[in-house]
Amino acid sequence: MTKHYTMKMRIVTLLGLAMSSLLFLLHAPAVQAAGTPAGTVISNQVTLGYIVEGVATTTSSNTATFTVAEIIDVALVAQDAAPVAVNSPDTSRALTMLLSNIGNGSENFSLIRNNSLPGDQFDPVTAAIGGIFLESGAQAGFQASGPNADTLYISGSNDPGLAADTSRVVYLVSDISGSLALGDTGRASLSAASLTAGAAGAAPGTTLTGLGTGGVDALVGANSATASTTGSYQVGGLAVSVSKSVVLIQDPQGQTGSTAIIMPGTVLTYSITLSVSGNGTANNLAFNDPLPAETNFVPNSITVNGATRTDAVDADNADFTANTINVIFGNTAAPVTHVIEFRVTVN
Amino acid sequence: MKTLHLAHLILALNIAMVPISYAQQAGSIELKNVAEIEVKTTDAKGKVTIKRTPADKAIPGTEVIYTTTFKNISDKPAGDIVINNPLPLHTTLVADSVFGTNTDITYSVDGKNFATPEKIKVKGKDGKEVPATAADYTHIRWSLKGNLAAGKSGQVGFRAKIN
Repeated sequence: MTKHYTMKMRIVTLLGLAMSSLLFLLHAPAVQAAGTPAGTVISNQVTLGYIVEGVATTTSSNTATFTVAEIIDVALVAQDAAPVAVNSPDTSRALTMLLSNIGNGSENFSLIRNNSLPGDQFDPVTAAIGGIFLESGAQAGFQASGPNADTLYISGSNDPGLAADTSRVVYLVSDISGSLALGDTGRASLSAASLTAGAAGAAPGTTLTGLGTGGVDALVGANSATASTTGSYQVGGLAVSVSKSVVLIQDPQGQTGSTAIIMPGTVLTYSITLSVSGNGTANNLAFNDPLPAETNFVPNSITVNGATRTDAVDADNADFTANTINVIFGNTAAPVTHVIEFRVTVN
Repeated sequence: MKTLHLAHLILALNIAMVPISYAQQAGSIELKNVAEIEVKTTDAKGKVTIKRTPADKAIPGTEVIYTTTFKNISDKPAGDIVINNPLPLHTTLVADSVFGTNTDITYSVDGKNFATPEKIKVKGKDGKEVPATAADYTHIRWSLKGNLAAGKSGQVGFRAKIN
């Protein structure tokens, strides 16, 4: 007669994974100020005073004027300080980029993403909910839905327009495929291009007659009116895994191991390996294992990493309460492995 | 003769805007102000040629060369010639770019008090006075040494970078 016993097991209160990648820089690196707005008329008039035959006179020159042309310049800067930690699989994970108009006129920009970059272990997948979102301004950070949801970018429909010297946060949102190894990285890039006709990709200094803000001439800036930046994802910034096995069986006849028979009175020794891998800290890590009705806990049988623990709720970090094994680890820095063992008898 | 009346009216307005004593002598000195930019061209052999062209449009960061030409078109010498140039808004004077043969050059940071560079102070961020730099100047004044003889001319000028 062989009985199979299952034990319900769960990890609770795994709160607030402290991942550095959740932090992102609030400020992009300094970019060149846009300068005098396109269309500004700069004028200069000189006055000259002189004396002829004792009479003082003042005369004024013509006014020399010219108009400030538009320089089309754009910058894109990835804002994540470190690779964004993801699971495998995962959905709707955002990379944060800052799109800045560093020219001196208003410009609209088209955006496009590229998932197939070299130098990584996997390609992020354009998210099912959409691959590029524009910060709505309602709440910092990416919101896929809700009252502060960010705006799905649709090329040709809501291309972001930016006044000179202004910026907008853009999110590259990706799904992550399954079966990736811990530590694998996947890179994706975002590119922006000015929508002024003939600007994007043109040689720096190219003049676009009359196409600047307010009809002034526009000049293509140093980066050919385009910009690109790359962000990356990393699998398992922090992962908690649990494996449970029976390491020793002893039946009432004294048989152990594979020769032992599971019957009432048989003692089972369970071993649980709890691993926190990757980088970061798992806050408030706790282990709870409610025992099934078919088993009886063997009093004072809990060990943690080989050291015995009492069953009471006391100074040691384990207890047996309400038919549940509880072990509290608190804030746990990765990587670390804990082994919990205890014994039960079969009813 | 409506046209003639209109012409008279315009003339009258012009005179009204200028103090009478000046208007009587107007025309002794011709004054011209030109803004130019430098355009670099590279020929097939790689030789770089810098050519000045009138500033018609320019982007921020461009250096604009302002040249003022003055000519005594009267038949008498002109003395005490003083040229004032309020630097154009949205530009910054380029250091050591001010020129003017046979002139004393002074600067101002307020348009009222003019002095040589070492005597001009501005208040720094901490409120203390620090020597002014070219970027602080708002006006340039050239004072011609001696007289400008009849028929003679001179040039003064500077470079300013578009902010």
